[in-house]
Amino acid sequence: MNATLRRPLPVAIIGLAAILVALIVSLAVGVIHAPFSEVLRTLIDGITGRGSDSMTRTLVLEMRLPRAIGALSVGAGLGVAGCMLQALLRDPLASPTLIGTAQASGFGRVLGVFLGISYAGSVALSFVMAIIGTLIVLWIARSRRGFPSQIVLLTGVNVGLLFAALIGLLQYSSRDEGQLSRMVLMLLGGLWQITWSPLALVVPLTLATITFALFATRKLDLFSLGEDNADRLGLATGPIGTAILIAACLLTSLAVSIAGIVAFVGLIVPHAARRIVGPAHHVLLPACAILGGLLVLGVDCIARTVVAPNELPLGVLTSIIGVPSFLILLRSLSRRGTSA
Amino acid sequence: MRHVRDAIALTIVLGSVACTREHAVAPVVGGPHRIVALTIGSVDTLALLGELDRVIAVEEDCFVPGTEKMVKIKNDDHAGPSKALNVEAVLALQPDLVIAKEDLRPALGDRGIDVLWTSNKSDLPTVERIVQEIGDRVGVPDKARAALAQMHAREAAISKRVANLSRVKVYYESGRPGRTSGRDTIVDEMIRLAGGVNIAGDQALANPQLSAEAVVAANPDVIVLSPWGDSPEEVMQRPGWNRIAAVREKRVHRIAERDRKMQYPSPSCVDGCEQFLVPWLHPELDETAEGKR
Amino acid sequence: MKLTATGICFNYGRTTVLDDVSIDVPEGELLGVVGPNGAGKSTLLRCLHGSIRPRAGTVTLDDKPLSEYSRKEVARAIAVVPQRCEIAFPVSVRHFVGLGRFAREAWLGGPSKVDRDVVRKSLDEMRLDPLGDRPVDELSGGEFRRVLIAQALAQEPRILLFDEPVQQLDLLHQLDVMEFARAFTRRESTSAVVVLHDLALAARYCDQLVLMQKGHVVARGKPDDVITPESVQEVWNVRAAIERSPATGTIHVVPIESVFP
Repeated sequence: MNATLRRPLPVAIIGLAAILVALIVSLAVGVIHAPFSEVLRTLIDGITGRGSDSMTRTLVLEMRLPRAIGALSVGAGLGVAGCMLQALLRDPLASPTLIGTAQASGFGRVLGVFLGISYAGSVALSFVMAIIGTLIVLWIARSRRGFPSQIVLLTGVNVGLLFAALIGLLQYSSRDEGQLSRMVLMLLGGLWQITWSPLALVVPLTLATITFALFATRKLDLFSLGEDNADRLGLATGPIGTAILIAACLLTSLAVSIAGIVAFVGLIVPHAARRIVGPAHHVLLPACAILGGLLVLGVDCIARTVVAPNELPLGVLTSIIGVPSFLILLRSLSRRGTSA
Repeated sequence: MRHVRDAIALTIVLGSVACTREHAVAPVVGGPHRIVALTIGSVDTLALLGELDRVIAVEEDCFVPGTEKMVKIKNDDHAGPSKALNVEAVLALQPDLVIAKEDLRPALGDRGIDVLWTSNKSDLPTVERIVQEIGDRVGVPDKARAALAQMHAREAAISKRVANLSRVKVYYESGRPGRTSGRDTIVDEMIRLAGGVNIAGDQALANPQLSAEAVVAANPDVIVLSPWGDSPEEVMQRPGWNRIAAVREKRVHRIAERDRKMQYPSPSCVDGCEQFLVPWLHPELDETAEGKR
Repeated sequence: MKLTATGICFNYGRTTVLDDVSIDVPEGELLGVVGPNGAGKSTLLRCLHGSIRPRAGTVTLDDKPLSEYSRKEVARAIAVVPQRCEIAFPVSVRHFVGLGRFAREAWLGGPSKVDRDVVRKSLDEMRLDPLGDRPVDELSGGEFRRVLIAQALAQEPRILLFDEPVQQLDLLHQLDVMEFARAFTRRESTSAVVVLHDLALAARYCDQLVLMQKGHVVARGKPDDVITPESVQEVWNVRAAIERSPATGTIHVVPIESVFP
């Protein structure tokens, strides 16, 4: 492993550069052809507030840019949420979808649609549900010595199924085709309809939560030694663990609120990041944010171009990529044996 | 433990005997009069043939006038074919004929009831076949033939009206953003009949999911929305859609709730085509008509 | 610093683990806690650094109840060398030891130069310098034990608590750990408690021993006074001879046979 990649500053610089490049490339691909140079010029004009109304401008600044920013926000949020959950439960298989947080949050979001409340309201509802779902899992799975991996995952998968069933129940009870359609669209996972207005709520909250997480990296290091060990080294595990859990739930529900249930990002990203930068959280956590953003941005580009003019649901595509990665991960964990 | 196992085995054996104790379906004298019609198109067809009083139950979403007091059967095709239908509710009605789409065969087949299967497809040839089959089954083949002849006549009339007009590009949105109707669906055919070109008309999928950019790139002249989903105002506000001719010229129309039968395969979809699709696609027809007056 | 437990009781569910236990940890001494399995030794240790709270009785640090200190304040005074520490995500030895600084780091900004210096010193003291960049899951048992001690040292504590620190170590590493523990107590106003199974090691290195049985303290004092044929038979149900080694001048226990009451 490269020693440079184990320090935060180089990782942040390389990562942000990679994000910038990926962002610009993503603005240039799509059904409508737009020459790269023109995209670049439009982007610069857009930032400096110049330039005139043109098709490329609409395309780049109104259609592709919000979508790319949304993808980055979803990916970064889920990557960081997965990283926090894995440290907190010291379990390499923990992730928002595997412990039921995402499904609970999706239920809250769909319930918001069902009740017809405002966007911000349904984000809040989704957040509350994420916390309820996660607490149910942790309450059931808790033993005297922390959270045994198998129990957490089994409970999480089942609670996830419960909330999936509740979502099904809401769909069954939907008032009309339109409501049903919205629910289905919401849950397939995708950024079809993304506009600047939900992003104005979600992106700042996501950034703020990730910033909070960046201040907690030392605590995540301690948590990944186990609760007993974190406690003996002076960490107030109760309140800080709760705060980290709330942050992970918030990130998950923010991601769900704009892109639906996007599976596997929260699981795969921390592992990939750990391979590149190692397990120390002051580097790992920013790496998870960067890698998660890159992954979802890349997958979304594939989703909207590979079957053009049609579009694949984002969640379907991340699962197609995620399941094999998950299986490879399981295999490597079972080979490594004990320490997992 | 052993008793339990035996009991289970016995149940399975008896159950399968009961199931295979089939199924000589006797033809009903005077035609069926306890019909459970699980497609909206078939109910509409029966209404058109004046045989609605033979129907005792329809699917839950059915909106055909005259079916309001009938038993409603939940048939939610979004949840997967065999799971979504309450088969017992159908059987309990002791129907002498069930009309259902092919995709309900796993749920309704081999149950000892007479089922008229209709195609999952929804193009015009399918509509014609259904009308004739239903007419034959309820003993009014002549009425069916007449209805079809009338339908053909109206199709011909519409074709003639729009024959010399330019083809208009149409984007139809079915319920959720980007979801539309592909080649040889009833909507596709109605658009074609009304003198339009469905922008997804070259797609083999029945319900393709277009990307937002693809719609902008196709630049339709008219956007037609199903009665559910985003409203015309919401659609016109989608980012970048102000580049679309239909949005610029405010030619975004939503099919009214009462007119939704245009989307279902039955002869009355031609009504819808005539009543609102043609005027939406060719507003100039109205103007010339008014001009003459 | 003075660490004292007075009349503490603890139970897991209905099982009483500690029943009215009082001990104090004298400055400048190595206190050994011995007793059979299930005597409550590890639970006592956990009460002593406030990781669990006794159901009755109090633990005080410099005459102030432990519960009135924050976890950080406790970690600055008392460090624990745990029996084991499972590694979920293997960081480097240096990073792992550095986590011992948590209680003394500034709230923001991560480790300072002082923190890094202390970590370097702790690594040096445990002869871990060459292993600094190794992942902690690639170490031998003896090496990992030294890493745990180095982490505790990085806390710059006044009191060290060892929970069975020589388990599964070879002879050299056993002596190494015990010599370190005793040497630590000879520093300025420091002390240590070590939970042990090996009576010979306990007698050889500890200044005082506490003998526990079924949640009670049954004897306390100099090793020679605590470890007697009578106490071994009563507490372990083993008839034993106590012999004195001419080489070290300390006692060791020769078990003869088990005697069930």
